[in-house]
Amino acid sequence: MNATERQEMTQHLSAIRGLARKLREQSGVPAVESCARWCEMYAQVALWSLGAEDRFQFMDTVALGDEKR
Amino acid sequence: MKSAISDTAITGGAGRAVRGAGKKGRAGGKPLYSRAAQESPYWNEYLETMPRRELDAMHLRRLKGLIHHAYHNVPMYRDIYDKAGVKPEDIRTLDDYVKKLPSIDKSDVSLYQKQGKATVAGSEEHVTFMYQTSGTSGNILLEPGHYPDLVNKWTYQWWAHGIRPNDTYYFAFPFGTFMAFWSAYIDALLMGGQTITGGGVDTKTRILQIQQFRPTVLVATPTYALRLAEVAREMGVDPRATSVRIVTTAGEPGAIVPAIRRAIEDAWDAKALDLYGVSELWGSTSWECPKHEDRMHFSEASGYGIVVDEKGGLMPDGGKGEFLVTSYESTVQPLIKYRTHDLVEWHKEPCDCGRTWLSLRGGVLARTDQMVTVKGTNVYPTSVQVLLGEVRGLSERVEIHINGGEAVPTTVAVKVEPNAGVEEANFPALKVQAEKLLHDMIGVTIPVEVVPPLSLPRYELKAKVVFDHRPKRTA
Repeated sequence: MNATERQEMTQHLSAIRGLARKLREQSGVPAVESCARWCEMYAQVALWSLGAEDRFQFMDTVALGDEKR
Repeated sequence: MKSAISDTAITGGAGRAVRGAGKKGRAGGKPLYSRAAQESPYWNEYLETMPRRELDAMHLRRLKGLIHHAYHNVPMYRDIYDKAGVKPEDIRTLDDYVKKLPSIDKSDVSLYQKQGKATVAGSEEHVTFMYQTSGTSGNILLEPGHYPDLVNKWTYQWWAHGIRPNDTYYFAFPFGTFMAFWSAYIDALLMGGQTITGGGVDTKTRILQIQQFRPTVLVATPTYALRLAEVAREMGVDPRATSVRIVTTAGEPGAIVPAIRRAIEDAWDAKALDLYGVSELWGSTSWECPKHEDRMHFSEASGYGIVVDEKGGLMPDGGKGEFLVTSYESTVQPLIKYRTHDLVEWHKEPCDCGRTWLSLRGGVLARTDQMVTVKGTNVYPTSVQVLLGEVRGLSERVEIHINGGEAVPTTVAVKVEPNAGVEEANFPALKVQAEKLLHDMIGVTIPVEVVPPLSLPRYELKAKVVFDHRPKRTA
């Protein structure tokens, strides 16, 4: 994978993550929001696999919201 | 009873600190779901309230696609449908599905598996899980599956009954080859709850873990939920005083049977939920209505169900018969028009809970393959168990013994434990009462033996209720 390919993949994954987050935050349907959250999380893990982003941002963006975690 | 409604089901999870409140759930921060979703009584309102005509149109589309896929990709279906002279394009309506398509049975799938003929579509790489049936009916069936097949079996029920992501689940389950609670575990993760796995430890350790982790939802078979409570009391722990507010069960008849509901709810001071599914169908599940304890809704998101008579004819709305299910979830090993051998009474009218999905009144009424004929009367062991639960003073711990042979008439006899605290002097009166009820309701004499409390065997997963002592037929 060259730098251009990596950049393209990263852009796609960022777009997927962004769309998933939008669905998670706005759909109002639990069955959709739960899957969207997993989509968002896996897109984040894939981005991490490509060396992009700080993985721990995920904890903020998905907002697990519990000090126990 | 402790509140069965999660704190965030009411508040939308807007950061109310409930840690330490124990029975209500974990602390809330920014919620996992939007406020609209959090406050929805439905996991998926679109499908759960879809008008029957639209539901049936969706089913027809899905069935046609699945039948076509199975015929062209699964040798077992090609074989069965060719023998029946049916092609996928012959199934144009739901009526065609009922009248033209052959049903398949567990024994068919088992036979093809044993002969090494493929029952599976696609390549081995698609098989990400391999489970087995628990062997309730004798044959153990392999259940190959693909990861997404496992989700959304329990979520509909849990959401409808107020479980939310701030709940903590305790899985009192050994995580073995039996699939049911694996899917519950995956669904808890999907929904966003915290999961505590109680696999690989003994019952006493599980009680200690429940005290330590303070789960709000206990996941177990009904038999084991009662066993846990019994052991807790032996340890000096009051299960009613624990953090558990919901006991969610599957694997055998649970809360849909009034006596079992009372036993579980009394033991735990918690709401008991029941889920009915056939594991090889990958959890095409039915679960109890949030408004009516006497009925279950069949999840029409996960499959298509019909009720038929002994000849395969469709039963009218409100009729009783065998439940045949096509699973949309069993994608690797499709099961189409699959005989469950479960006797149900179906109703198609919309429920006042808002759902349009099929209602099964009383859940599974009996196993059709366990029916015995006594003096010309059909007797279902499950019905015997349900009726005994109506006798005040008797517990849900029952053994039903079937005897007879080629030249000996079939008889049914029952052993049942009384509730704890019932004095032995009352046993004869209970026996008379139980025998009269069975005779009045079923029409034959079934002897009842009231045995001392704690004398029947205890089980760690499912209880063995029916003991058939008749000689096995040889083919």
